Amino acid sequence: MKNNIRVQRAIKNITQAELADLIQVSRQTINTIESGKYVPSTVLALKMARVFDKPVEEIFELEGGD
Amino acid sequence: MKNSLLIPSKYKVIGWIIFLGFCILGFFCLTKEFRIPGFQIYSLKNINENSPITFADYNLTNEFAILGITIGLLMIVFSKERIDDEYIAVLRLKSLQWAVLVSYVILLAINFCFYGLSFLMILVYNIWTIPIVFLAKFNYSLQRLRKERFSDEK
Repeated sequence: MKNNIRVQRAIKNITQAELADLIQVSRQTINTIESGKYVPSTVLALKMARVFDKPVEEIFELEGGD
Repeated sequence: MKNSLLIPSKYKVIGWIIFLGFCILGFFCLTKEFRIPGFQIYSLKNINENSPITFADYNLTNEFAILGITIGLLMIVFSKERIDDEYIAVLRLKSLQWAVLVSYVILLAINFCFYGLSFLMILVYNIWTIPIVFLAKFNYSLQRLRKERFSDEK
């Protein structure tokens, strides 16, 4: 699964740590999600979508093999 | 996602204190034949010669040490991290799978390396293989996670 959290963060102008605080996870977790090492739960994906004020599909995207 | 089996993170410190304390007790019990005086089951045979139950006097110090070490380890294993999110939960599960696998590998290796009474002795220590391997693997994963470099530009 692909994501464009880094881009969304840049648009919103927030750091990983700030995003982590907003959705109550650790900064490391945000880092692993951004780098594609970890696929977040639906709850976390929806929380991120709420922070960025975008639908989930605009942040996360299926890729070949999923 | 709530994991109701986990206890608050402050129990990790208490768990370590209990674990180390009882390790010392176990060590002295094993090497110096240390026994807590009076902490034992008394033989009923001494009280009544005709009693059908005949077990010998038995000191419970080593049982007590095993109990303490096990409870201490379980407390450490089941306590939450300070920041406990879903990625930590994934790491915890992965470490547990890894620990179960490794503990069986160790068990099979022991199976072919030790025979007779020493095999049984090592099986006794083997009751702590899963929690110990789990703690080593889980803490290693956490350490690696903390050291990871952040690509954090605004």
